[in-house]
Amino acid sequence: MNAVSSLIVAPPVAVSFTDWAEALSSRAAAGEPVKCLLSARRLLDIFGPDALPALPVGKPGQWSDARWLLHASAEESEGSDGTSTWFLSLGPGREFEGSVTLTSKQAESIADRELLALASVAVGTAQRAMVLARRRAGKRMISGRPLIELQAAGHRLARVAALITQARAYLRALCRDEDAGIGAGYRAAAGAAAAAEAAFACAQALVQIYGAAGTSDAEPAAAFAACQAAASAAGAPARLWLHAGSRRPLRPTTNARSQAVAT
Amino acid sequence: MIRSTVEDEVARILDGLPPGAGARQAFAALGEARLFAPHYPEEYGGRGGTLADYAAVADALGDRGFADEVHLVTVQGVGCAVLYFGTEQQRRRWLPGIASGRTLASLLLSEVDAGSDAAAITTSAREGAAGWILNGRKCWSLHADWSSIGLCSARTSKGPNRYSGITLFVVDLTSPGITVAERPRLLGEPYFTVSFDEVAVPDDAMVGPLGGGFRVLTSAAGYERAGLDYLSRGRVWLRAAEETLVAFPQLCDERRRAGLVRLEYGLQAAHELADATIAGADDFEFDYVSSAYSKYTCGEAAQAVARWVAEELLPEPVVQTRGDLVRRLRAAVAEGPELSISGNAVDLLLDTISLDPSLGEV
Repeated sequence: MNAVSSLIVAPPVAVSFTDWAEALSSRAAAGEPVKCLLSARRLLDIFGPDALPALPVGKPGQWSDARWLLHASAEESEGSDGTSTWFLSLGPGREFEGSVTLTSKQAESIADRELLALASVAVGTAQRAMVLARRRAGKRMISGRPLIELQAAGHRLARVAALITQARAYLRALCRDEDAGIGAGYRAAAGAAAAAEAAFACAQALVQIYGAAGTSDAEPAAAFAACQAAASAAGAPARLWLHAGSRRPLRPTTNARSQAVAT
Repeated sequence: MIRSTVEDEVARILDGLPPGAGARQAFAALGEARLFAPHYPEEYGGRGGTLADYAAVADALGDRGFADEVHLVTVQGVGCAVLYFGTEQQRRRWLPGIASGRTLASLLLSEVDAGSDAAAITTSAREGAAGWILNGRKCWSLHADWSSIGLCSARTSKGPNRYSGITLFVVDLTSPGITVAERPRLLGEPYFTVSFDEVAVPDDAMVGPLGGGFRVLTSAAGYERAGLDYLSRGRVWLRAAEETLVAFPQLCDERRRAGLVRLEYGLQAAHELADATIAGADDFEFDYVSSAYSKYTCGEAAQAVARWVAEELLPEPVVQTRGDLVRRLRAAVAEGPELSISGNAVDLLLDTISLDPSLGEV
């Protein structure tokens, strides 16, 4: 039983944000669905421990099959004083009353965590595509040699692997900061943009390495589609970079952590 | 990011230097507090700290624009070769001076016709009456004029393969027969060529086994694999870029602000990878694949800053009105392109990454 499922089985065990992000990423890398986990994360972020009774308490592993979570939604109603009130709805046949009023800063911080969660999924999804691409590059023969032995192909994969690795390292640092009470701030949008770009690049490389089979064989085609979807989930990377830039205070220091603390 | 226990102390010392203090003053001040090489054992002038402590010092020096590459070469390249492969007598002779920040050292490995191929050297050492006689020429050394010693590779025999028969010597750069000549560059700090003409060195100048220097040498060059020195340059350049945007708000549109965040992301992500490489290193030994990721991303991130400065800031006429900023921005443009050439060519790093076993079977 991992840390995430233990939370569901025996609330209210504290689970770090880093653990959630790792769980999201590793499930995506294994090709498993992540929507329920994303949804549970969102509910916990908005409603805090109040949301725990709404989560599927039961047998280990049940949380991942709790498809009703897909119908759960948190609706926002903006107040005139800059606050927003969120109402939790669990969908048909489930009763749970919950509402919470958040300041705009709290709401922003929840949106940042959502970006981090989506970025973690994008990195995991890209990782899965990378493993497929690399395996194919080792088996596909071009002029009597495995494709990966051709520098252009090997280096293309290496560059994409570096993009994924960078995004993962950055996201881990942000998750650690979240757990330490230092909000990711504008860096969440930067991490989401970078993770999305890595996933897009990986999707492209996957099909290139596979050749025609990349879009006709089920496995690479599904991995390609998953990469595209995960990379798009938080919005266009260009918009995310602009968003991050608009929130980052402009002053001559390059310590991103201290910039974020100050925001 | 890993945090060292010496970070605050290092910052206090460097920030307390008198205005205009140079790198060598900074080195000596750190040495006095046993912080120039904090990971060396206490008996050799260090504090018996960790590699993370060393990285914190390198980081702090680079952030303040001091020549951190000299620190890297002296402490990690030459000093650690002596620490891990030298005799006790050699450690006692050279390490306290190095740790004091007053004995600076150069790595004398590259040659004109060998380039990054460290096994293709032609510098030779033959046995003399009381030691060895060195002949040859070493190139592309930065700040060799500051160094009093150098770790020099020389061929002592023809082995069964091109990697054997290479031996390393710590040489006193004031020895008769050695000349250190400046080789000016169009861009950036000058290089130095160190020539050996019948230079006599004693037997006990040899570090590591006779003919087995290549193994030592790859470890000695390992210090630069994390790419930390690239990162510090990138951060200094990014700071100059940001100061330019603060000075000229008319340039500070949303596109450039987004560009700034992207560059900051690159440096920060690379720093995380460098930290992971250092945290995973076993004394002198760095994981090859992890180092490749680290060095590649550090180089790319710093180079991206230099390109951005060239494309987005320097062409703006208004920027030319601030000579101090222009000088700093031009330094980025001048130094940027060579970053991932030094040490390991980027193609070699990508070759290593492409075979990363953590990406699954090939």
